[in-house]
Order: sequence, then structure tokens, then C-alpha cells
Amino acid sequence: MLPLTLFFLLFAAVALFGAVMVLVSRNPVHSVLFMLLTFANVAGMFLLLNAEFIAAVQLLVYSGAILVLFLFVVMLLQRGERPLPALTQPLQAPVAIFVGLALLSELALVVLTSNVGGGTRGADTPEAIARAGGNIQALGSQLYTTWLLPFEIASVLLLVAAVGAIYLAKEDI
Amino acid sequence: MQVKFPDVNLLALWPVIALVVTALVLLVVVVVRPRLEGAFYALLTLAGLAVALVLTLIQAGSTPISTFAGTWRTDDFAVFFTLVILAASILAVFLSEDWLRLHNVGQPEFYTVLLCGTVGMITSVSATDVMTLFLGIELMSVPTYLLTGFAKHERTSNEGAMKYFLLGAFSSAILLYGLVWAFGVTGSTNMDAIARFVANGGGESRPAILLALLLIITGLGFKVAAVPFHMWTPDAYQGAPTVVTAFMSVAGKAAAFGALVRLLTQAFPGLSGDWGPVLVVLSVITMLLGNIVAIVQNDVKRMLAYSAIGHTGFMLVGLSTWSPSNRFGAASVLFYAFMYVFMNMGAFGILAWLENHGGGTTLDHLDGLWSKAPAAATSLAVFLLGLMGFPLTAGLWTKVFVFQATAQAGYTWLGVLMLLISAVAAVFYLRVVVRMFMFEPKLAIASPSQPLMVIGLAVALIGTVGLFVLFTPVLEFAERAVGIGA
Repeated sequence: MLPLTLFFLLFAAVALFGAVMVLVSRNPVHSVLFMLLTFANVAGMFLLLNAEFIAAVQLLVYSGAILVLFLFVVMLLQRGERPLPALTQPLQAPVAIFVGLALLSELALVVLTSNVGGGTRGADTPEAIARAGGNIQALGSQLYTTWLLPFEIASVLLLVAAVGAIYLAKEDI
Repeated sequence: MQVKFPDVNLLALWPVIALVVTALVLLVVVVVRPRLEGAFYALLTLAGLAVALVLTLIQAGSTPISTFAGTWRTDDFAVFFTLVILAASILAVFLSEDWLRLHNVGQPEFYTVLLCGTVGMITSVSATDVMTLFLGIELMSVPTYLLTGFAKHERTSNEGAMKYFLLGAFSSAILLYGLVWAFGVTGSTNMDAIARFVANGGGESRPAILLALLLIITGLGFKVAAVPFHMWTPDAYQGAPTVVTAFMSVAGKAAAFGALVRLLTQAFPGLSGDWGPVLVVLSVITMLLGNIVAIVQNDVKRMLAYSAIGHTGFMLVGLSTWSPSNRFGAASVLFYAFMYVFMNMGAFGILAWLENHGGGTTLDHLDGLWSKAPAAATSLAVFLLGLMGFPLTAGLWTKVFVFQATAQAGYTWLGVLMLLISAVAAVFYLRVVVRMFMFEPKLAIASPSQPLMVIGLAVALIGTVGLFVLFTPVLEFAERAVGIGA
């Protein structure tokens, strides 16, 4: 097997393990730490895809900043260990299992029966990125040219989220 | 390195720019002059919305503008939905001002969030790139979550907002997953490029593209409140302040339908034989569940929430009949969305009016409304008859054209089923009318002055009745917007 494939399998397996553990950990702090594990492995996968900048951002922003925020919230709100939330409706668990399995088999069917790699390749191939002068240059020039409008829309989204959060959190408005 | 700047045509974006600038001005005004008396914030918001409306009307006749490297297109389709959304937003400001004043909640924040949500809705219907479309959907959703929880000291409002937020976040993730599958297979986020790829059915990648389609329909199914993705709707609609329910049940639904129609008919037209049957199934269960569960509701606000689910079903019937050679189904959805603005906002508006009078929204509160407030009772009756599809209201034509779409596409059984379910729906609409006109009043109501509310309700009433007569221009515009006779 190619070393790349081996690394991918390693990262994917650990990421999946972390994701499962996020769900089944009884202590929320452990959940957050397992999420960190998953995020770090996803960053590794980005590296394998030649997306160095995204990998760095994944580590800095998600693993670094956002998870620290999560950790603060969890530790501030934590009142001892809590039992796993139980599904209250009797039908909920079987239906959830059925729907989950249905989606899983659908995905398996799609991956096994269709030639997913046979679609059209996007324009941002490694060669095109190398021509643009590397990851950061390519991303930067794309972000401020082709994706200028979505970029601006995202800024309005952040603005309204901030306004709303301040309104909901402040007592005297 | 050479950077190629994209083609920028701000002409296409003027309405959105006007709205964002108004929102920013509002925020600055709050900082400089907090707690202004009177309806200053509402009037400023209305001014911004009116400017956007005028600019959109100017765009209506002109040729389509595609700009920002193909991420945005202002065509008749976008202009039609923009008009629907702006009409709903303007009515929402009229309805909200008195509620905000009487409950003393943050007016400038409310209007800022409302304006940003309107921008998101317009983006959702104008985007021709799935990345922009997703950001538009998010910019529509986040403000509606916030507005749902805007009465932050009321438990029901918090609960509704929480449920809406959690399920909305899941549905956004599912939608995004579907869009990513589409991008992974087609190599492009541009709708025209996706359409070229699926023109022959997708070839070897057909199962993958069908999965993408399924995930997209699921994700947007949440946003339009189609069964079985409707779980959030009754709680969010009932928990939200009534004026917010009026806004999001109309504008949010129109924008989500706009995004759905544009995606299905412009990115996946080649697969209409695949998504059509899926929508048929969704529409049947949505119509049935929405209208039947509405019968047993005792709270009129919750009843209208279920009726809103039922109307989603009626609109899905129209969309499911679409095919590249028979586009009338999409036109019937556009037409429905336009008429729905006045009827549904009017119905929720009367409930908000009653609440401002210290009343509630259960059937008991509506008993004998005729003897105490004849104008309100008559208006509510007209709005409910409109939602029912009764002649002499615009509601009749919504049902007629959806039925015509089914007949043209050979789905006549579906149209007949829709008319039968509409007849069942008459049960709960008429029950409210009977309680208002024939029962003795049980509860007293106060009478604060609500000047802007009355204007908003009057506009909705005129729209509901007037559009029964003057529906032809709307229908012609809707047909042009979906490419009939172009």
C-alpha cells in the first residue's frame, strides 16, 4: 500500500474514533478533548491533500481557538457528571437506528456502485495552485476576486450574529 | 502573480446594499442616540425597505444581470421573490412596531436583525452559485432564530428558539453536505455548470448526484417545513412572538422555496424525472399531516402553524409537476408565495393585534370577537377564507393554478387530492369564523392605540381581496420569471 493511503487510513480511523468518543463520553470535558483529537486528524488529512494552509487554519482556529471556547463554556456550566440524555419517546431509538442505517447503506451503495472519481475535476488542481504561487496566494486571490460577494455576505452574517448574541445576553435591552 | 478582478455590476445589488446600509445606520443611531421616542426606528427601517422596493421595481423590466463571477444573478426570478420578501418585510415592520413598543423590547436591534434576515433571503433567491446560496440561507436562518427568541424573558419564546436553532443547524449541515457532494462530483459550485453535468442524467456518477439531490431536498425541506422535516415548526411558530411568526412563516418560506425552485430547476433540470416523484410523496404527506393535525388544535396560533405546513404541501404539489417542457408548476409556486404574503401575515397580524389588546390566541379568546371588535373579526374571517381558498379572495387563484399545473403535467389525481384536502382544511378555518361570529364573548379586551398595526393589517386586507381581481399581472410576471414565453 502507498504510504499516503496508509496515513489516510490512520488519520481517518483516529478521527472516527474521536468522533464516536465525543458522543459516548460521560464527562463533557472529555468530549471536548476527543473533539480536539478529531480536529487534529482532520488537519492531517488536509495536509495529505496538499492543502497546507487549510490544515494550519484547522489547527489554529478550530483546535486552538474554538475548542478552548467550548472548554470554557463546558467548564463554566458543568455541575458534576451528568447521565447520558435518554431518548424520551419509546419509538425514538428504533426509528433513529433505522434512519441511521438507511443513510449508511445509501452512502455505501453510492460509493460502491458509482464512479465518484469519474466526475469533472474542479479548476483548483495542485498544478493550478502551484502556478498561482502556493496555497495562501491562491486562496487569497480567489477569496477577494471570485468569492468577493460570498465573503461580504459572510461579514453581514457575523455582524447580525454578534448583534443578536449581545441582545440576548444583555439584561437591560 | 496576476490577479483578475471579477466583473462587478453593483446595479444588480442596489436593493441589498440599501438594506445593509439601513441596518448599519440603525446600529450607529443606537450608539449616538439611544432610546429615541416615537416610531423613529420603524420609520427609518421602512424608509430603507421602501428604497429597496423601488430599486427592485426598477430592475423588474430590465435584462438579467449576472455578476460577481457568476455568483449572483438579478433576473425576473430573483426580482419576483425579492418583491415577495420585501413586501413581507414591510408588512412585518408595520405589524411589529406596536408590539415592540407595548412590550418595551429592543426596537433598533429587532429591526437590524430583521433587515439582515431580509438581505439573507434576497441572497438565497438571487444566488446562482451554491456557495452564495448556502450563505444566503444561513443569513436568513440566523436572524430568524434570533427573532424567534426575541421575547427573551418568555419561556416559550426561548424554547421555540432553541428547538428551531438546533434543528435548523442540523438541516443546514445536511444541505451543505448535499451541496458538497454535488461539488465533489461536478467539480463546480456554479449552477449552470452543475446543470451541464447532469444534463445527460449524470452518467457514471448518477448515484452520487442523486444522493446529493436527496440531501439538498432534505435540507431545504426543513427550511420550508415539509413533513417529515417539520418537527420544529409548531413549537417555533407558537413560541415566537406572533409578529415574528407572521414574518418568518411568509418571508422565510418564500426564500426557502425560491432557493429550492432555483436549485431544482436551474441546477438539476436534467433530473426532474427523479426529484419530481420525491416531491410528490413529500407534498402528499405534508398536505395530509398539516391540515389534519390542524383540526385538533385549540390554540389558533398553533393551528395556523400546522396550516402553514399544509400550505407548504400545496406549494410542493406545484413544484413537483415541473419539467423542462412544462414549467407552469414553478410559476404556480411563485404565484402562491406572492398571494400567501397578504393572507398569512394578515391572519397572524390579527392574532398579534389581539395579544396587544391583552387577549390570547386560543379559540376561547376569539369567542364573540365580532361583537367587540367587528373590524378585526371581519378581517380575520377574510384572511382565513383566503387561506382556505375561498372565492372573492386571492386564495382561490393559488389553488386554481396549482391544480392547473397538476392537470397540465398529467398528475390530475394529485390536484384532486389537493382540492379534497383543502375542503378538509375548511373545517378548522370555518370553526374559528363560527366562534368569532356566533358565540358569546367570554373575555374582555383592552384597547391600546396601534396606528402602524392598523395600516399593516389594512394593506394585507386590501391585498387579499384586491388581488382576487388583479391577479393577472402577478401570474404573468411569475410565468415570465420561470421562463415561460421567454
